[in-house]
Amino acid sequence: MQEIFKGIIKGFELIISLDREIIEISWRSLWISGLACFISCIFCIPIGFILYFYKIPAKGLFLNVIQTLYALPTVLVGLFLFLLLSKEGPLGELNLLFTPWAMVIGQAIIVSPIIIGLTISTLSNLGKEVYETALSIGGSEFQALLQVLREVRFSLISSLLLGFGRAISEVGCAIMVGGNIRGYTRVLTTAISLETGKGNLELSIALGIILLAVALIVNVLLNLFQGRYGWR
Amino acid sequence: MVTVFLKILLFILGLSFLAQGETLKLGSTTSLCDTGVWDYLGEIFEREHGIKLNVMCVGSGMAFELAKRGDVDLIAVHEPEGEKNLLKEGHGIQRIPFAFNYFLIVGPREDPASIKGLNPILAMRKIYQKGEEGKCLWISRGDESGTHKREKELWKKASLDYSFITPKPWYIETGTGMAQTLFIAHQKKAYTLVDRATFLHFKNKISLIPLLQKGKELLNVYSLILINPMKHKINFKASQKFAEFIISNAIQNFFDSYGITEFGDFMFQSCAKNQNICHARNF
Repeated sequence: MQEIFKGIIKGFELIISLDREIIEISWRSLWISGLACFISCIFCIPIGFILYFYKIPAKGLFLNVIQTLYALPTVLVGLFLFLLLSKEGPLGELNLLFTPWAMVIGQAIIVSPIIIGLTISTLSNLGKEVYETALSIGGSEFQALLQVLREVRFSLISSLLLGFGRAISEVGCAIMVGGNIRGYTRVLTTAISLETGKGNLELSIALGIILLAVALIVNVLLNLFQGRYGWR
Repeated sequence: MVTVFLKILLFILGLSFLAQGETLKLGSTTSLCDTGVWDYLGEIFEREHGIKLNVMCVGSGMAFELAKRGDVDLIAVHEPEGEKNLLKEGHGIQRIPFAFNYFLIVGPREDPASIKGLNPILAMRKIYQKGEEGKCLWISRGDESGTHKREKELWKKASLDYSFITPKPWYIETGTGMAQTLFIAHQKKAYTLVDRATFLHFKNKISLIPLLQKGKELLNVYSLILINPMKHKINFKASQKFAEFIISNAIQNFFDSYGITEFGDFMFQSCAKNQNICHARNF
């Protein structure tokens, strides 16, 4: 029990003392997971729109598959990506294995089903109405879709946050394709697993607290942007 | 094309420090990583040779896999059988033992199987007997790691059939890393096999004590294996430099003294001063 308290205190100490390595690791966690979510959104929000608004054969099957993939094990993604990016694999020439980029790709894959699925469920709330209204007042199809996007943008941020939460907290894929290299691919989760192995339990808890703090900052910033807790 | 795009992206993000200079990729077994030696050695090596040491900490099985795929420039492992195979298959070109220590058999202070002071083989038999009588427990990694392989070897040397032991109620497989396994052994007041470094790290957090810590059956030699440059596109020059660096006098002395200030006990012994021991397992 004592270790938990010590760990929590140490976490705050590390945050306050601005330990250089910890800041580096946190920043790396943040940008790798952030970039992964961003890339995933670029692809997956349009895919969600297409799946919702257009007639696609076996759409129900698609949706089932996507929702099943919410449970995609991160280690499996890591393994799959490892085999692709390994020197022996089809993409070995790119030399991406054990780089932060491999981690970005992996996490983007992991969060994609969530973004697609939640985009679709967001759209099913009010997508059709907005879309048809926009068409009826003489907008083009593209303008109508744009109008829908504008209407649902805040709900999409929630799904983005969920995706980000999954990305920044996953360890299986990060350790598999990143390799947990100090100063290069070590992120908060892989550092936690390393320090636990070393027996530095307090430091592990401290790092966990920092991960939560990073997530808190991201949440607060996006919520501010969303206007939920706006400055009044 | 993709790499160019990524580099540009890197630049825009203001993260160009990520584009590293010459690097050396070392696949290391986790138990060695957990000692923290690579953090020290990596810094010294980079200062002296201008090559950044990138260490991937993986299980021994994965280390061999990385070596076979040419995804690393060299590996640091402690599993003689696997090392032998890697050399035989031609993926490894040279084996360089650089340090060693002894595995420990740890257990509760009361030592219900009274193994203290016995030789490892007799001890395993005693644990088996007392286990059958329901007087003690044995905790196993059960994960095909170097340590687990050694445990299986010990049962075999004690002429006990491993597949016969595993279903026993006194035999518990954790399937996790050394730290967790040791902690479970502590909670259950059980016997287990542990590497010296992990034990020293946890010494003050657990109630188990080392009951056996010597004997050739417990010898644990750490070696570098250089990957064959004819077979894989790797940075062979750098891996040679690193091997020379590791067996240099300064670094060998470093291994002898490592851990003494932090844990009050040595963690390794260097191969330079104990050539006969390091090469004892006929290679």
